[in-house]
Amino acid sequence: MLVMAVLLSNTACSSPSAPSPTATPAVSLPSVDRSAGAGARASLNEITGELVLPMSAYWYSDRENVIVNSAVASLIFDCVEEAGFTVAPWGGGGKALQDGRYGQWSRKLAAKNGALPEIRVIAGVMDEQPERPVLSAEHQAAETKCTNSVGRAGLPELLEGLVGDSSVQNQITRNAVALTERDPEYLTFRQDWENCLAENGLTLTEQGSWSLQSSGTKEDEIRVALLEVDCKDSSGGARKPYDILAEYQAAQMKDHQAELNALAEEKADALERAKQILRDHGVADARL
Amino acid sequence: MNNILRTAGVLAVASASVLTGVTAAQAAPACSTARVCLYDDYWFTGTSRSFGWVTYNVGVDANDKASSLNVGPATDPNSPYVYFYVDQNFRGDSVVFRAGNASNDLRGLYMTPTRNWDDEITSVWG
Repeated sequence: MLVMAVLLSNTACSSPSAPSPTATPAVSLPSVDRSAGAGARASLNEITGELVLPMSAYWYSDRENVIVNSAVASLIFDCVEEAGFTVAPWGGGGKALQDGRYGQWSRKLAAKNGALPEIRVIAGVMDEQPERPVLSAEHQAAETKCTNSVGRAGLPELLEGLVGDSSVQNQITRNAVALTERDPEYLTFRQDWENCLAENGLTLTEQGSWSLQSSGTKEDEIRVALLEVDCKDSSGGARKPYDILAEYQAAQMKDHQAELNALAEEKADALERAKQILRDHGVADARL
Repeated sequence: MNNILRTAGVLAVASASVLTGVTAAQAAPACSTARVCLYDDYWFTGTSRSFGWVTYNVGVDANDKASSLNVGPATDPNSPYVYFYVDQNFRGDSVVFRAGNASNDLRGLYMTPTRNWDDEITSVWG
């Protein structure tokens, strides 16, 4: 059973002149038997830095997010043009970061990037254009007004971690994170990793962090990042926390499959609508 | 940066202390285009600091200090999301805000059931 715990502190209607301490929230976690998700695994691409978990299917992929955002942008720019402004040609793709929830997990990327995550380039639906010109104050005001009026054009924001999202998919994913952090196998992994770091003279930037101190040079960042991965390997493997996370996700999904099936349909519908918006704006099917 | 959509995988918790659209603009001080504005105290008070949408580390003075925040308009409507991370270099837990949104009190925004975002932000990606 999924027990949700969304807490409301202040709302948009509260007076800004009356700050007050937020009451201790009544947050609870569901009791989840991880073994119900046994066998679920995270997919970690050591070259691109891409992470795929069981719940990933219910969020927009990087590419799908580009499509939906481009569709919404098309409508915003229509609105700006209707307000009498000329919109410069726009287009191009996106960028996505390697997941760093549990720090570095790829030896290849550690050797390449050190402490920094890999950045993936996501193909756009329209050609890359030069940097947008600086907008006049009036043009910027019109764009902001249009951004507010268009909103998300009725397209759902299936973006993991979006603030204010109380959907079942966000409940499952954040519960899985919290359950993982309490899992005995995870705690052992984390402790063994920290012990190994200490044995190698490495220090966390702060307690509980997944960031390590270095001298700041690229060479030292790479040295530290490689030791970080070495220590994870000797503690059960760098993918260990992600696999535990995957099992907690999978274990919860079984109780919510009907809702997730509906969500998958909603996502497919949204994507088709977004693609139609882009077709209506002259984007060829080959780009979608 | 132009024409960039960023879609890093992240996780966070819902909160009603997020103000959207016109409401946010009314409740929060203005934050410039392609900037995020962090405040040391609730309701957009205390020391305020402005950062770009790609900030590897907000620095010693601002690290783990933000208690409220405001996200300025996007440079490009095609790239409307900003991620806030608990660790430097975009590591650890994260939460996603859309451009123009704000949170007046990060105590109401939870990364886990026992930990909220008050005094936790260290890096920004958008």
